[in-house]
Amino acid sequence: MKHPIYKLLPLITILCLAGCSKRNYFPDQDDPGLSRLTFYGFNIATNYINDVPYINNYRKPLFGGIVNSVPSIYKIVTSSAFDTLSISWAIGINDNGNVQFNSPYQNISLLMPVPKSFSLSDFIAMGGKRFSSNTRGILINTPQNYSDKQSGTSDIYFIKINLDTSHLSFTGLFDGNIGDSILITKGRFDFKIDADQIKF
Amino acid sequence: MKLFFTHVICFFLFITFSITTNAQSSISLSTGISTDMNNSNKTFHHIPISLQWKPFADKKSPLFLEFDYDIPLINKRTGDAFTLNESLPQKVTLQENISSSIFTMAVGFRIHLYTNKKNNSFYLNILPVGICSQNFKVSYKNFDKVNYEVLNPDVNSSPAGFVMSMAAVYNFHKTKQDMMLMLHAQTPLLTSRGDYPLSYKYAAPLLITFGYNFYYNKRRK
Repeated sequence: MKHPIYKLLPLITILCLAGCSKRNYFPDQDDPGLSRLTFYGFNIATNYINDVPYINNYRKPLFGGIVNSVPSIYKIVTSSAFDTLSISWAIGINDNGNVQFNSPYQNISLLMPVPKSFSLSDFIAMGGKRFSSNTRGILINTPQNYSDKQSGTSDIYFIKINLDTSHLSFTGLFDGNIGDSILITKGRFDFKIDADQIKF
Repeated sequence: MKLFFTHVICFFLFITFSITTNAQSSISLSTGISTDMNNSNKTFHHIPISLQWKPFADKKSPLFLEFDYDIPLINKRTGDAFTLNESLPQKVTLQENISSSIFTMAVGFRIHLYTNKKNNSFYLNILPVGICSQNFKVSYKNFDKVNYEVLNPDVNSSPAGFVMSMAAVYNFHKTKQDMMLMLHAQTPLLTSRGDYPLSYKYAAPLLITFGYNFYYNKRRK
């Protein structure tokens, strides 16, 4: 009689193969350290902060290789006439697709004032529109004090937004500055998230 | 890649030197036009130069070697680029130029199909094993790299791998010099396409060429 381990061999092989998947990071030759601007649902976001390349985090599930982190999208209810749409993701210094743990900035948030009645269809309607820094905000967090957020202004361009039966895909550009000391440039993102994660 | 080509060259040198030549050996040189069968909407076109070395004209020894180099003609496409800079148009359409040179070495055999009274002959060439290198160069015309970002950009690539091909060859017998007309179809590279999606696929050239057969005399070794 064969040892029971033999019955598990196909499963072990599949799990090993699943662990070999690579991160969807494709370097942009024109902008070292940044990923190409894509609309393939790669869940990749890169930008410079003071000319240092940053990339969104990834996680390594027990079985499944590398999975790029997706952003959090939610509406912050405020007491003013407008609420705030927040799109945020964890970041770190990009070391050829890997994230350095000792990065000075660890989170970035794009902030946009939206009407109280803002809904998913309004978000989809933002596709193809460019928003100037007059009213748009940006936040970055430092690891020393996570609650100590530094805020500034940003330009955001949602190049394409697409909703299919189960996924919301959106690609765009952003930049910003926080005072005169922190300059965020050449930002680009390509996200694809489950539509049911949208709570507005 | 270097190791791969070293093995390939060694393989072809082995084939070359293990063939003995005879009085009927010939070299065929031809050129013409080629079109790509694998990129249906934006076809690549080339000017092919095909060299065939047939150590044996004898119908019982049909082995031959073929070397093809396809000189690229520019393939024009479009790509969209976007900017955050409010003083510039938010979207521009760029002209994308792709040139794809192809080099193939293959070993095959000839099947004689027909010879008429004028000694014109018709052959089917089967090339089951070939090594092919395709070099794609991508550029965007008038691209402002500082302010704009191309969405889903194509990039250069230099894939190599195995191919198979087949050709129909008609030889015109002339007193002084034989001529040939060839229709040659080749598969795309039999390798995976990589992780990054590109707008172009590996080329599968369909060549039509016209050229000459040069016979040379050499003693059997």
